[in-house]
Amino acid sequence: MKKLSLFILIISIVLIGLTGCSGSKESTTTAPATVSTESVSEPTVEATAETEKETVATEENVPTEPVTSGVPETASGTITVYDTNEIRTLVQWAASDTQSFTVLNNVFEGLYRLGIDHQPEPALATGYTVSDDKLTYTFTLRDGIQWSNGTPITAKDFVFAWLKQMGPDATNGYSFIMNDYIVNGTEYNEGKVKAEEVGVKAIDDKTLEVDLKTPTPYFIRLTTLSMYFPLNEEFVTSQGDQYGVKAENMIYSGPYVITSYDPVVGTTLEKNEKYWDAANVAVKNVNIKIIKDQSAALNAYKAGELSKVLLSSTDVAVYKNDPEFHSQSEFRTTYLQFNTTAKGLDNVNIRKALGYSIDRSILADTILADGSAAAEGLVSFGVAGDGTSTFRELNGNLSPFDPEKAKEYWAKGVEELGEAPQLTLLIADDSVTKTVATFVQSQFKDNLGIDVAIDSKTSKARNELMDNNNYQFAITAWGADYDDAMTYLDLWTNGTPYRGNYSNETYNKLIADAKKETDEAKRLTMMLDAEKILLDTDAVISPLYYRGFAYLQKSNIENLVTHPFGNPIEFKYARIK
Amino acid sequence: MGKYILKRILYLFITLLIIITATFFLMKRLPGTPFDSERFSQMPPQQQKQLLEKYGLDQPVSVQYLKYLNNLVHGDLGVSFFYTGRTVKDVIFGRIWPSVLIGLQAVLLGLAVGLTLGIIAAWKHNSGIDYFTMVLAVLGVSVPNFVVAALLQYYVGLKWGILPVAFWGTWAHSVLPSIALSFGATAMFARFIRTEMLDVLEQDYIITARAKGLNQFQVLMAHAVRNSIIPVVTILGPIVVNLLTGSLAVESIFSVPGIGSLFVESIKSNDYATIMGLTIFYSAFYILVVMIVDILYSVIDPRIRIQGNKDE
Amino acid sequence: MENYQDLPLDLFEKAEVNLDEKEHIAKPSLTAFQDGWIRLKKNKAAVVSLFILILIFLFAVFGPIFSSYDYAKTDYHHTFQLPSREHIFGTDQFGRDQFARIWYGTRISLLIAFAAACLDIFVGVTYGAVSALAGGKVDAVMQRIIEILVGIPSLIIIILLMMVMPAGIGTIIIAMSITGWVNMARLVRAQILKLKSQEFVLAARILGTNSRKIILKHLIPNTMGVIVINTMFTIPSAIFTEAFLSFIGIGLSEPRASLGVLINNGYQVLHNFPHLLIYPAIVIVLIMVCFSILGDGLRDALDPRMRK
Repeated sequence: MKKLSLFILIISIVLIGLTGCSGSKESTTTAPATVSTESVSEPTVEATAETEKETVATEENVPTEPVTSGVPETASGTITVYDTNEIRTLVQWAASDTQSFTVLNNVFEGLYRLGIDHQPEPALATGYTVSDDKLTYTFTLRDGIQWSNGTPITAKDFVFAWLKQMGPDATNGYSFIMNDYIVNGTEYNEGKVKAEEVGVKAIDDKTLEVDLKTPTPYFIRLTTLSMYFPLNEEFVTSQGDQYGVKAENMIYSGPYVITSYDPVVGTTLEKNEKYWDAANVAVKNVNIKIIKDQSAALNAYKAGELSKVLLSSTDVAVYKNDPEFHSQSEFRTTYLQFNTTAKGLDNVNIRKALGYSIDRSILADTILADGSAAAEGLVSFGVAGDGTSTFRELNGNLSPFDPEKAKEYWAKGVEELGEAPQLTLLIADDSVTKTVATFVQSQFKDNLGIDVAIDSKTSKARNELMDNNNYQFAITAWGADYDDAMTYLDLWTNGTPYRGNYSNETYNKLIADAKKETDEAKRLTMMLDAEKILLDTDAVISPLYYRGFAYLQKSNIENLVTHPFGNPIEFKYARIK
Repeated sequence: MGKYILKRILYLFITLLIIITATFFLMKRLPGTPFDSERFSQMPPQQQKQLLEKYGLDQPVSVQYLKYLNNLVHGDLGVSFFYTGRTVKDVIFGRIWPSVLIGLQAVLLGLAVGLTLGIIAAWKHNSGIDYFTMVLAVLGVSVPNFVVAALLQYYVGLKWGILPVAFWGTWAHSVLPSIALSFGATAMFARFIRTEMLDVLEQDYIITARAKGLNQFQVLMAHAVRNSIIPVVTILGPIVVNLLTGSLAVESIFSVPGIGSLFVESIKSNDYATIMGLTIFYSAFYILVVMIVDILYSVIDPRIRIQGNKDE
Repeated sequence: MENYQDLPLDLFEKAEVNLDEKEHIAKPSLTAFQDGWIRLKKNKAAVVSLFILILIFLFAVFGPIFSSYDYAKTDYHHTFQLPSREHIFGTDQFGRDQFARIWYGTRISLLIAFAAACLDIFVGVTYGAVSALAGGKVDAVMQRIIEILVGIPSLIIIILLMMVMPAGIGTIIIAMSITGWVNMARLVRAQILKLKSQEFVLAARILGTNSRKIILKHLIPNTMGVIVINTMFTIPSAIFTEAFLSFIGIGLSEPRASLGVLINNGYQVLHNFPHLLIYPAIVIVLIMVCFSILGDGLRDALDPRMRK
């Protein structure tokens, strides 16, 4: 045995030597691991029981007995939530994912912030005036607002941040969210005009003037997005490449400040005492952790380590009657994109037949069963309409299930084509999309009697195939950036292969006119008509469902608001009983 | 021996260069760009060009390759696209440690349990412990480690509350992932050593040793184990590399910020610099381990002499 | 009896030498395979394993006939049914009969595993043997080639492969075989290196046996144990690699299934519907257990040193 242990020892020494150089600063605890090669698990259990207590002691929110059952109170003002993906970046002109948006929204603030009812409320600005042609907005900043390091927040900070987002430095692909609206934005991006000529100016420290290309009734809503948050030029420039990499390389303007940030582990937030509305921020600490596995998150929630957990569809059935159960839907539509130039699908009757053959209520209620809702149109439930009714209520159900009609249209289409087309559905390889595709495939089989093949690729590969016009139809989704139907309808005007090579003069004109229209009622009618053309007349896409989520939340937490679009979670209003 | 090691190190660099070259050109053929695909296809072409220019992605691949090599020689692995602003060095080194800790513990646990069980099983052939070992060995390879991990988390973590359910922090957090990870390795070690031992125990020199009157334990240790260990050394290399470079499933179940998911993520998001950095790290590590294993051969089995010496 | 010469001659009879009889072999002549088969039959556990495997194999081929359900037929009124008389193994998320799906999945998994294992053995054994026997520079170069192959991330190759090939069984087998044989090659090489310097090979060489015969009659049979055992590991790992591949998108396209896919899906609902994980898991474990017991039996039966 001597030789054997010697050998094991050699191996371990070599390996420790190899990895030692890469072990970096986290010195933590290697010792217990390498002490004994013979011992199995008993001694380690004892050792860890003690360390376990230490962990518990350092984390205020965890109950002293992490043993299970019983609702542990989330005491002393800490909320712990999680994300299912890494927080990739905290640099706002590089951020394009929900995880980053969540953090940014809670440590920064724009001119306006979404309230508990998802409507914009004055934040760093106290209000605005708008010119008669609805093209010039003048914002007045709140008195006494300052960055977390004490520097006052001025209108210049907004100009700097917005120019950064509009200019060539922005890598998040969100420049359109300013350039489409602000005068000379696109030209600035292309280097054709100077910064001074762009339609955003600091009149003085307290006044910000914005010139728009077209009247934009939802412009105030845009200012709640992270791209519109201010940045202090002096500080950002002084940090150089390191800006946003660590907590200490940032200063904050929102309700919270970051105390630690690791893209893979998560972030910890602490109340920002310099925040103008600090008096109304009740929860002192917020942890955002990263858990990728659904059932692991549920286990952590039950062990009292999380304040909120998302449920999978099978868990929903079990917890439906639990007092901690809630569900909510998002402004995000998943739909079938037909390629209008692909063989077979260039026939509108075939496209209609496919659309009519899907029973979306089964998909939402039985298959997904997670709070998702059956789609009735491109624009999801809840998106603003005329103020009294939502857009969806006004336009009705444009994608009904009707197997008889489906068969009729299919027969007609096949007759026109001369033969039944062979179809392949292109999808991305995540598990939800696969489930949806399997369902849709079975509906085609049951209601049209056709076998549709499914081709699943990585999302990059799927996008490339679509961009190269190399697909028949695909499952894609679009989430609203702001609460207005235009966020969806605008997409089908460019005629790219990704949008099914759709080009319809009438449609394009309706959208273009709606963008110029100052009368809100007329504008709305144009958008309602546009949606009908897209879905009913031309059947370019077929909506499937609006994403929702079901979750458990500790019963002592109130007002932990999740917005259905844009920046999702809002900690500012949360209360712990 | 010294000359031989020097030669192997030279080979190591040549092999690495070939791997870097092949991976670089293959990687550049991956579909899409490192940018958010949906947003990118929605951008006007002029902006797309601007972004590609910013990162030098508009140049011919061969030019990009030479630039990369040049930077590499100067110790610069580049900047990650996925984690904006972070250097690849930071991204990788920030995540190596948890994987290595868990992997190392799993290997040691696997070796200790697997070898012990395997040796006893062979020594007491067809006894209860032999059958037990065989069942364990079969379960170890046929039950996927994510199922083991999920069960450990549910029972040990949640129901019994002995160890933390998930997350990373103290050493206690590393115990369950290590055990989950060691399961497969234990099974492999146990099986291999058992098979080899059974073989060796029938060899003439064992009979001779016994005939000489050595006691059973000495025979077992001095002759049988030493001669049985070679195939274990062979599989040890790949297993060590596999375990130390992280496991996607175990890391995601226990929320361990390790390197396992980084590979899949970086490839799926076309994070070129990170893919290259990981490839270099992974293959250098693999080659080193293989080299060490080859050298260990000659230490353990006196009959195998490193060939390099004779030929030159 | 001193005067034995006086004995009358007629007491003696001339022995007749029957040349045919002298050469007669009482035991029937056996090839190595027949010999192995006879010894395998004596191993009860191995025979039972073989029997179970044949049964599983038959179910995989004919299983759908025993079930009145089609593996792809959905029924949205009966989703997540527990095992009952209607559905012996219950139904899945789409109301598909799990019994039909398991046997269909077994068929696909076995197909993939066998194909992968065959490629493994063929390429791996050849490569390892050549590398070990040639030795010197050839060996060094061949080992470096392995290092290069292992060094290039296979996921990149797989994704590229997937761009040019449609999702399907063929693609999966190719994807798995790219680096799958490396382990086998390394093991065989190590084993042969060990055997090469042993006395019986030396003896054979001194007796003038040619290289081909040494390889076929001495080295390969003695490497059999390692080969068989590694194959026993290849089969489950092939089944799970396939599951991983379908997880990242290169796998089978719905509604097709494999055991790995079923286990993956079952794991997602483990908390609430454990039967969706347990049944496919039992089948997989059964296949594995039987394969390894059979494998052990085969190794013993084919091992030349075990002949009595």
